Amino acid sequence: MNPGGAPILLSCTEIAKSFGPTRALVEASLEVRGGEVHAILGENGSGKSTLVKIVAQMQRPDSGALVVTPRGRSLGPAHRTVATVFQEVLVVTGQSIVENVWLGADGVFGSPLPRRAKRRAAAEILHRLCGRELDLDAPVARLSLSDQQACCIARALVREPDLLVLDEATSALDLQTRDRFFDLLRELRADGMGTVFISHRMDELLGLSDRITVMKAGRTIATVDRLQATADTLVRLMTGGTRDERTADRKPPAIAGRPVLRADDLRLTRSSAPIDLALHAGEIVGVAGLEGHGQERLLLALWGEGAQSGSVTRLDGTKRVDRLRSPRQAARSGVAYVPRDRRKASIFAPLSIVENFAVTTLRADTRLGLISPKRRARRFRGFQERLAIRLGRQEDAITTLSGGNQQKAILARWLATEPEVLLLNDPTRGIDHGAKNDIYDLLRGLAAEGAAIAMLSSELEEHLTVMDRVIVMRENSVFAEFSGDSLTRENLVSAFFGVGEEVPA
Amino acid sequence: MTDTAPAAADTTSPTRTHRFTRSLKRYPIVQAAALVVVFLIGVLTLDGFGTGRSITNILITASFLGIAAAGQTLVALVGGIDMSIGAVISASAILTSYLYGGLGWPDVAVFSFVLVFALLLGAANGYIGQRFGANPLIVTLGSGFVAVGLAQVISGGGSDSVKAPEWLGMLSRPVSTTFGLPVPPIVVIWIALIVIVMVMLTSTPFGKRIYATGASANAARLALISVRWVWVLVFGLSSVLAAFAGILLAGFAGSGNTTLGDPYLFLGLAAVIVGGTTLDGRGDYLRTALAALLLVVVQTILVGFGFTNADRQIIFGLLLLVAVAGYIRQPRLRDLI
Repeated sequence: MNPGGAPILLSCTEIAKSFGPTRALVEASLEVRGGEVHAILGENGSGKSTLVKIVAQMQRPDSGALVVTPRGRSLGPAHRTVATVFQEVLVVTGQSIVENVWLGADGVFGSPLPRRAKRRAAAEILHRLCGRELDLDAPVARLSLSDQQACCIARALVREPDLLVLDEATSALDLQTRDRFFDLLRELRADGMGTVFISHRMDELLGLSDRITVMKAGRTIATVDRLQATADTLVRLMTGGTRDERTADRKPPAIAGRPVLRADDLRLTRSSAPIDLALHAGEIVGVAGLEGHGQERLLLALWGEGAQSGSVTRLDGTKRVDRLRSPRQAARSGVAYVPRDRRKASIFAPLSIVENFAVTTLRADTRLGLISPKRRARRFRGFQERLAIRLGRQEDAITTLSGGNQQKAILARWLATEPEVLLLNDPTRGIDHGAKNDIYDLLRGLAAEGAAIAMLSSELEEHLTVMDRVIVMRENSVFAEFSGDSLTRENLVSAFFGVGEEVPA
Repeated sequence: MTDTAPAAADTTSPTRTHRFTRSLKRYPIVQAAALVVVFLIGVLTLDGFGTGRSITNILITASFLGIAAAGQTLVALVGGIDMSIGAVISASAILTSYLYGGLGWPDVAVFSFVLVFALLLGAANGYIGQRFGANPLIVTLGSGFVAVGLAQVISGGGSDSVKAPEWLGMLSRPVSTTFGLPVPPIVVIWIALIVIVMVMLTSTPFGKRIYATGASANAARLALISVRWVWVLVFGLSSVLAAFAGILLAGFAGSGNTTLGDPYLFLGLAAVIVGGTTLDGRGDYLRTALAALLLVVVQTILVGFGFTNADRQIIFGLLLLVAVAGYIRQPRLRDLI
């Protein structure tokens, strides 16, 4: 097929989109032709999800042009120009399979197609995808997750779209279903349907797509032909082509102390591969990966919460060994967890700064059942200086602080428990440059004093400059680990996309 | 560059209006001012309104209402609602008069039985609401029926002839004095309760956990607060305080019946709302206490003006709507500060 001669289905030019102060898309251009699979590739925060949402017409661009030109053909009654399938398996559990496939197609009083035609179309596509007959009237909840996602794909395909958008839609499919879906996709491509494809699997991308557009920091920086692309060239494009640029003044990797926290055979979900790892005194370990690959699950599991199986053990240097079974127990044996979402998971808006600080260590201020404000203020003042928290008065509402200072107060809350293991969930997300550097300094200081730190970060830069060692998560398990000279931008991003991954049997 | 400038301006030297709105948030200034204004209106328009006798009556009525609304305040602070308060008051009053007057139990045994009964009921409310994510509105509505039903079963259908202890009634008689002071003991009991609850809320670890739980149950859990324990204790306390009000009311009325507590549920809720306690961990009991006084003073003036019961309900309902409309604007006010 010759994409150059095919009609242009979708053309986006210089699209920009901001959410509050965050510029998700700065300048994104994309052109999708009939009969091509067009992959979009980029690491966390590159803007690919935002671009896809705009293409799917779920969000409006702030500026720029989006033109969708339907193929010139007689349109069926259920036709839609653009259909989208998401990573989340969106089925209505109370309804049957056929109702789920045709979900949202009916008007209030009428239906575009007679009942029998609907059943025939649904049965045909589901048979192609699942490889067997499904009972169309069975409740969708009885299907496996993979077959439920097949219903979502069928929902998009029965509308006979000109442009199919797949936003990580294949991650819930089992391998056979995925292969059957890709075969079907190739046939539809030959019929002239265009596909926009996002996947976290480099092998899928290279196997299926005709052209690949690479995004970085809200911009589309290149569109390359599949025939000219290799995993290496794509990774270089995503990382900006610069070679290793870790700062020269970076301290040498810490000499790992004794292990203080160990995970054995830890499974984050029922189907994910087991994890074995250890955190050592004095090291800062980065937890990296594309968003949604189990990084947060790993931190919580290390805090004694939510693991499917396996064990987490706290080793405290003496002979005492604790199996961690709950966050409460983890905290008691010196493991602290600082959540990601400050507004929903950390701060208590009605309480003051100092009250927010003291909430996990109330007993330290309590004499004869009453809290001594003097004692509390004195305790907090120490942390206020150490973390350089800028505030008016300790009794002011926590909401009067900037994001960075709020985060510092929350860090102080947990440092007050004198933890030996710190689990930090993206602590510098959305805070200003100065506060970030204060937090890096703090972490380095804590590590030097012998704390073990595991830090989830969505910023590549932080992994390169702050961490002694970085583990990359894929599909709820540890995929790769880098330290020293192997800790480079290219290696990290390659691992994010599973470059060099064996196709699982 | 440009985004740091306004932030810096915000943190330096709050203006006078800023400081004023901030203290409005911290102290119940509006409620106190309204109380004074409404009281003065009463003094200026009604004969005998400002006399000691009238004030004593207002204080007694407000004490019952205030004690009954204490538990509701705590429950609202953790983000719940307790619809069983009226039923627990009725049940406690029935049980008190039956166990004392009907079976002849000693006072201490009667009170212990009633308070433990209420504690178990309230703890169950909190446990069920938190453990199973059940809406506390429905849970407490159900347990309220159970409470009144149980009290009737125990007392054998409840007869009006059984009496509460004589001395209980003396606590709330207008002519009674407390240690020589010319106020009935129930007023002193209420003031003591205000002090105890306020100290608990502002200066104990439990108080801080109540506010944290109400502000964000999720964040509280991640800060290692046992949200379940907080709910069990707060709902338990709410029922115990309602039972306490029920015992006092049995003394005041002489005996109990199945609808004795009903007005206190709705007026108590009104006091919490007018006081300004919200369901997201903002407010305190002093606000509720002032609002209880305010409601009783308004009620008394309306009676003095000769409004019928129906008219009074209409006016009360409108006042509540105005108060609620005022608080809905508060979050925006809060963001401005």
